[in-house]
Amino acid sequence: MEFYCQNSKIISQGAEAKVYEGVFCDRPVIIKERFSKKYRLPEIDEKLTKKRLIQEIRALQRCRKVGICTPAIYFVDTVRNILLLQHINGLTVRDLVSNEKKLNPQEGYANLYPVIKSIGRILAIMHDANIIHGDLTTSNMIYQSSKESNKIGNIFMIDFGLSSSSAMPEDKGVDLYVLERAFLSTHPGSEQLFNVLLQAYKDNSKNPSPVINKLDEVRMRGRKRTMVG
Amino acid sequence: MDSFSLGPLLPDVEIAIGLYNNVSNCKDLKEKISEGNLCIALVKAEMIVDTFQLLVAASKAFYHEVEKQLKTRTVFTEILYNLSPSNKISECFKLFGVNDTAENIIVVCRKNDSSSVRSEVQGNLVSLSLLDKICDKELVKKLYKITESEVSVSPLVDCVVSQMIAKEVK
Repeated sequence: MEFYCQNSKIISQGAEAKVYEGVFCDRPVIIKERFSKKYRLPEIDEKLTKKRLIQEIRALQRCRKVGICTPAIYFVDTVRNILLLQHINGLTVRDLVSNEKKLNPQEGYANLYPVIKSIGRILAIMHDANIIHGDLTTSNMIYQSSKESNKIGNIFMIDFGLSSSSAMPEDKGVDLYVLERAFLSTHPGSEQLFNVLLQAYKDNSKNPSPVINKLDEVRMRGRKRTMVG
Repeated sequence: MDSFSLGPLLPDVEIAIGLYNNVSNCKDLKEKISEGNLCIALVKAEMIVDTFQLLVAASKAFYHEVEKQLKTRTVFTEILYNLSPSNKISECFKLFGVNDTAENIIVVCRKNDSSSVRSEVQGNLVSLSLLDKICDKELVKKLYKITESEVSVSPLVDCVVSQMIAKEVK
């Protein structure tokens, strides 16, 4: 809807939604508009779009409740599928990792270990709460540096449109597998960095071994579940 | 009273918000509201963390008025309904409405009505910044089911408004 976006700047257009920057009651906001896809059956399209908006709000809230930073929700229009979220000042973890490689190509990614460990810890908390993100990538994490120089900043998790609720190690394993693939394809040579993340996940998760076993299994076969037998 | 614009959702709507203490005529005001002679929302000040909380509730109310999606009778009762974390209409008046003897109240009205509204309220108009002292934060946390883990990563007002909006998908 054009009137939401007066004086708003489009900052990204994904497959699911257009994302704008704007202002709401004097606060900087992100306006996320899910659009319909003409190639889908209208009935299915409407259901899917709505479902993802609702899933996003639910997961954002469930994460907040367990102490994971997520943007605050300021407004929702469930008819036009528009969501207004708190604007988070920061850098995507994707940019953080890429910048580090440019700045310190010799050091591997050792400078990032503290931040990466906190991501592993956050994912462990998220999975312990049975929240599956569904689209874990380094672009869906925003690093906000701390005002105190000796502290590491906060990681905000965003983009929960594909999230779901599940206690199954399979789903958690696939979640981690998706992140691993995203990590290694976006940041070549970052195997060690992902291992640090995984170790932090294991150290903080209440019951990591079934998830890690599933991750190994999924690595062998790919993300889709085998339907044989 | 301070005035606020509800743009960009509603660029044409301007509202006024006033915080009063030592109010002596809540009963009168409530009667005038129910007779339809006074178009304002009266909110229990103890339940409000920050002006932004009211702006979120008011934006949603005026937006739903335009969209003809009001769940309650008027746009002003809708503000109370939107403040509530629950979808039960009767509950929101108990939680966020004022009782006859309330002394700390917040008045929300259209900006154009603000001067006439000011003459109706018998009490002291004080700065909205005093909300920080008047608000019963423990009660607010309990009511909105805000966990300590949540407050540790987010300002209370953000926890509250997120909960207010999330009730729509309960």
